[in-house]
Parts: sequence; C-alpha cells; structure tokens
Amino acid sequence: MLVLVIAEGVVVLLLALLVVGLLRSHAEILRALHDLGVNLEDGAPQGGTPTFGLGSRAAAQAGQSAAVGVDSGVAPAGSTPDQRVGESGLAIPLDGPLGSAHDLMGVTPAGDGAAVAVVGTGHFTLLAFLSTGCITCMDFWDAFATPTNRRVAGDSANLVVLTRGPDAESPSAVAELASPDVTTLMSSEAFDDYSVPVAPYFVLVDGPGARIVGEGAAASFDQLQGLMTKALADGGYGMNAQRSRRDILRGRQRGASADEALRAAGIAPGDPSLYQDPESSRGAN
Amino acid sequence: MTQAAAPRRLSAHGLSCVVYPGWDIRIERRTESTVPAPASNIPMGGYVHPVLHAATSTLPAARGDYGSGYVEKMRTNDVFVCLAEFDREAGDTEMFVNGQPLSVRSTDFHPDAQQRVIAGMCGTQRFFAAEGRAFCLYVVMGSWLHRQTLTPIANSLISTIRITPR
Repeated sequence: MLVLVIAEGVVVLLLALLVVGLLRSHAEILRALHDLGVNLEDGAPQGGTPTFGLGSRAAAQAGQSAAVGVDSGVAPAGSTPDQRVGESGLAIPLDGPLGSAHDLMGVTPAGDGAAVAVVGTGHFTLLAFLSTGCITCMDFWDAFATPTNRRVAGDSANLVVLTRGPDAESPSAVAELASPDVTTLMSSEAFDDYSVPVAPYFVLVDGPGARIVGEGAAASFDQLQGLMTKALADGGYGMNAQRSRRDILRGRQRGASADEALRAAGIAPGDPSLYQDPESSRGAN
Repeated sequence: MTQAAAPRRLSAHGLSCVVYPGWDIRIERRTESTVPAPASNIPMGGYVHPVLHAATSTLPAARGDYGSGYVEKMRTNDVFVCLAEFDREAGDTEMFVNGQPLSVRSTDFHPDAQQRVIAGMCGTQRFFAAEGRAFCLYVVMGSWLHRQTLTPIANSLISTIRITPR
C-alpha cells in the first residue's frame, strides 16, 4: 500500500512538473509574439495596421465604396498611389504593417537646407504632408499658425510640415502659407519615403520606438485632433490607452503615464512643486 | 555582398555636411534684421551671411545665430555645432587663423566660452578663414563633466563640414 501511495505521489509530482513546464513554455511563446508586435491578450489593440484613415471610413459608413472598393478604411496592400485616393479626395492608408520611419531632408521655402531627425529622437513627431494647391489643406495651414494647434499630437511632440519639393511646389507659395515658427520642409523624397499618395496626409512617428504609430488623412483640423487621440490610445500612449497586463507588470510607459497624469493635474515640466522637499512642505502645513 | 549606402550630405549656401542619424541640421541664411541702422533706413544687418546649425536633438524653428532658443533646452548628452560666416574682409584680420578646423579637443572647452553662460554646460569657438570666406566655429556641450565623451560626437560632424568658395 505504501509503495502504491509513493508511486502515485511521484506520478502526481511529475505531472505537476510537466504542467509547470508547459505553462512556462506557453508564456515564453506569448512573450516572443508580444515582442514581435503580436498581442494576444484580451482587449489588446490590434497592432501592425494603420490606425487611422477617417476619410475612407466615412465613405464606407455612407455606403459608398472608395475608389478601391474597400470598406475597412485601408487600401489593399500593393495598391498604386492613385488607387489610394477615396471618392472624398482624401488619401487612404495601405493595409498591412505600418512602414518604417525615416529621417527627413529637404529645403525650406527660403531655399535653406534642412535635415530633421525623426527616428530615435526622444519624442513623437507629427508629419503633416500638405500642399499649396488643395482646398482641404488650407484648414491645416491656418490651424498650424496657432501655437496651441501645433500641440495636436501632445505637448512634447514635434510638428513638421512637409510639401513636395521645389520641382512640384512653388517655394514662394509655401512661404506665404507656412508659419515661421513651424519647421516647414519641401521634400518630394519624404513623400516617397512615407508613401504619401496625396495631401493632406498625416503620419505620427514614435521617435524613441523608431516606429510609425499611425497614419492617414483628415478632412479638417477637428478630425485630425480625433485621429491623434485614437492613434495615441491605440498605441498605448494616452490616458485611455489599452494596456496589457505585461505592460502594467513591467512598468512599460510608466514614465509617459506619469508625465501625462502630472500634466492633467496642471504640473508642467520644471514646475517648482516637483523640487520641493515633501517633508518641509508637510511641516509648513 | 551589399555595399553600405553612401551617407547623405546636406548642402546649401556653399556649406555642406554629412547627415548622420539623430542629427538635426539647418544651413540657412538668417532673415534680415528689421532694426534699421542709426540715422538710415538700411537694416542693421544689411547683408546676411549663412549659418550652419547642427544638434543632437530637435532644433526649434526660431533660433538665434549662436543657438539661443535651443541651447537653453539642451540635455546633458547633447551637442550643438554652429558655423557662422562673417564678412569676407574679417578673414584678413589676426583673429582669424588660416584653415578650417576639422576637429576640436575636449581641453578646448570651458564654461566661460559660451555665448551666454549656462550652468553645467561649456563651449568653445574658433575663428578661421577658408576658401576666401571667414567663419566662427562655435560648439556647445550639454555637460562640462561629459565633455570628453561628447567631443568625439561633435567631431564626427565637424570633420564632415565642407566649405566651397562663393
């Protein structure tokens, strides 16, 4: 009898070890998938596809198929630039994984040379691809003349306005529309690098992560504000962001969340209250 | 075997440099001063020379010739390189040595060598003439303590600056 109990105990122990091993292996697979950008946890945002493309979504909601006949807000991979323009005249992002981020190089409307780092910077960069000829773009040229509107992608995000190069756009026309306080670059190369079919088009780049967070078109500045909020939340950067359990446990984005919470409480970087000794202020009270 | 892509060069106004990842660079001619010279309608800066600004973090759109507007926001690991041109005649004076410097040394830097002294930071400047043009090379480092580790970063860009005659 004793031998039987011991044998059963050994079998149970072996089975427990097997289960632990399987669970550990499962966790490692999930972690590897997560590191590759696939998050299978409940409620996790779908990664890897363009996160905004409101122009085409609006057409889909109205029962009108876009030029390429899609109702998902994205154009099938491999679509040509002219196939990526919806009936509303706005550009549609390509389906599939978001492309790589690229640094920018071009000329300013004044004929100066400029190279702008986007990848590996310590902040987000919103790239606004505009034109001097499109009516829709005028709303954005006007909006970016106001300092508060330049922070549409967050207080710390950098805004860069891009037009096609002097071969396709008039530098004097760009100079007339561009705010002197906004970095404005004329670069056809940037339109190619980011596969921009037609202006207006917006790309949000996560500098530290060296990746594109979202891209797409908007018909007005108000729409752009909504798109930015969604892109940041989908990417796990906003207050309403969906965060996986792993993110919370590992403290990912803790710094960004803390900054955001402080900003919401009216405490800006460099605020004197951040440098006060809590003990002394407690004593004063 | 694949060949590495040639580094991109940014060129304008007879100045050029290699664009390395992470560097923000502008080569621009500053706008004319709106302040008239005393007793005349001619702007104070009647002829505006080019200036090259290169920084390891984002340059704001509005900056002074020697980086004011940016240097105050530099982090301790940031480097700012400025190449400002002077009148051609200035190159004939004793202050301007002949030949373009292609590097700086960590011992060249001092907190007092900044255009406007910012605590914890340091700078250096060299006046020189090259290709019939006169320049000031002004370099600022975000940390006086880290100047030895930041000097090679500054030199990686300074060594690629090319000046052509105008």
